[in-house]
Amino acid sequence: MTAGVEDGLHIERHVSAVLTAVAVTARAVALICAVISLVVGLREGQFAHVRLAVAAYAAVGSWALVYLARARGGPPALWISAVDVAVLAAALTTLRVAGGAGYFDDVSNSALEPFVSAALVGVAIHASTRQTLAACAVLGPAYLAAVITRLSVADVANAVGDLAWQVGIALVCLAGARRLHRAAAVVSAGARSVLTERERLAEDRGRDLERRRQHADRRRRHLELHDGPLALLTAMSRPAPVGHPDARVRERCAANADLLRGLLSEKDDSGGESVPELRLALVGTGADCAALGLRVRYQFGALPPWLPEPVVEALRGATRAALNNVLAHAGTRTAWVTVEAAGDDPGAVTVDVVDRGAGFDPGTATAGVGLPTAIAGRMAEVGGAAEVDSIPGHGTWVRLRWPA
Amino acid sequence: MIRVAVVDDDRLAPAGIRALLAGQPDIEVCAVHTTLAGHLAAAVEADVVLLDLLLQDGVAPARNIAALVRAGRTVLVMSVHADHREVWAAMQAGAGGYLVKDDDPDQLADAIRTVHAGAVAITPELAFVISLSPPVLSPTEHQVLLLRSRGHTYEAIAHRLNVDKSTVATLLRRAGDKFARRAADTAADTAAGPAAGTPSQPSTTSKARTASARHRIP
Repeated sequence: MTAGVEDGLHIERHVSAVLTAVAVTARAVALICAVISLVVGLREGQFAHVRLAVAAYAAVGSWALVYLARARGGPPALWISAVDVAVLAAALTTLRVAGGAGYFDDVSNSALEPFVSAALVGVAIHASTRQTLAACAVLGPAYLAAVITRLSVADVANAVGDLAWQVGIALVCLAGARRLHRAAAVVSAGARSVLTERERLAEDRGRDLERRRQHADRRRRHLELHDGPLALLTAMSRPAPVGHPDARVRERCAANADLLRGLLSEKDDSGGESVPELRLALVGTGADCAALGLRVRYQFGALPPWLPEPVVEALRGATRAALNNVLAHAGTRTAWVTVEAAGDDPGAVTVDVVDRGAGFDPGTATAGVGLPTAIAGRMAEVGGAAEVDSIPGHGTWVRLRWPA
Repeated sequence: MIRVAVVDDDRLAPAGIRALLAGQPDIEVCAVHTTLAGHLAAAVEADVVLLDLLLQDGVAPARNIAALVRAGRTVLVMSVHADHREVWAAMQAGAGGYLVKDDDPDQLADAIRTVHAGAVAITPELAFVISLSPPVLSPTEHQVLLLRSRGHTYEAIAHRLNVDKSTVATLLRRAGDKFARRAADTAADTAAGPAAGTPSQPSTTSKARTASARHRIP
């Protein structure tokens, strides 16, 4: 038999079936014993009131058949156990009256011991401890009242001894059933956690596959853009004879190659695209500048997973202002824009705009007058900060930071 | 005179590089091949091999570079575009530098001279890749590397740190050496370890390796 972890979930059902089988077997054996007792009692003339005795046996026997029929559908309902106990108690009382002088001494199982035992076992393995004790409290006195005909020490002791094994079996079954149920609960909890874990793993694997597929897709797109337009634009931006003869066209080719590179630029380590809107905003800004003849070299590092829209907008505007400043005052055609998560804080971002142009003296220059308001103002509005640093003759460095 | 061999399977690229380097008196393009096999078979006497990172020969770039390094070549890797991991793998395989292909003749010529001199050519783009997963550097080396990665010139860096331009060059060279040494170590570890063949991530190798450092740069 091969069993999967899933079977562990249904262990309780198996345990229940085993316990029911125990109750059913006990009941079937009791039925056979009762038939023997009845036949022997009739043949030996042990009944004082034959009809009453037969009626008692018939009641117990037919109820046993009902009980067996119900047991197929699963563990007995509480009311069945209650009727069971009541029928037995009534039959015992009846037999006390119907039995002759020697009935309880000469006929085996004359006090329905197998039935008492089977009834108590049935309650013990399916019902609670309290219900089992209640059943014992009803059947025990009924049994003793039936079999004790003389109040001698020997008779009482014998009767109590006989009752003891019947109750004893019930208590053993009670403890065994408890244990089995507890073990089943452990097994099914274990199975459930294994299955949950398995599902989670499958989900993870699915997500991983999806990520890898997306990664492969992006990679293919990259390669196609890389080998096609980007290679061509690069070649055309080179000096003649390979490149375009017109220097302005060459410049535009180079600027557009930069744009393409910016768009192709880095994804984060998980393979996912982080804040594509920031990348698009900044590259879009660069595109405007490229149209005016400025080359923008983009570098994108790991970016925060998410940025508020106003922040993206402020970074775009401030970057645009910095690039405009390069166009207007730096006297150079190239700028570097580097975007990265800031230092130790993965939710923060820095944008560096660097040129190698004329620069200005931050203390005195008028060239940089527009910068503080256009850049620092924008950043301050969204809780960010900006620094402008310039060295005459060696370029200007604008650093944007969010949060400040 | 520095003899440069170009290996690039884009038909326009080699001629473009020739044109780009035409104005450099100390550099000549001595050979052009579209495949690495072609280049190796021709047994060209070249000082520096300018290798396109993403040749469409189906071979992992790192293996191409390793093959050239084994053949005793100094390799400068170029690409119209590459992601960090590809650049990192190229450096790990023994490339002397990396730069984006564009129209800047001075940067290209500088990089060729630097690798020819035996150092790592730390272009801003390579500085940026290194800065994403730096080896253990002194604070100044780290600062210089970061400034370089942002596109600053040596002069601008020197001004900002209040040091000589030659000091900037020295600091950058040291940072590059440390990076190359760690890259070579990691490559050796990767080759020796059970994970051979799987590309190692820069982020997993950010710890410094010291004692048994194998020097690739003379």
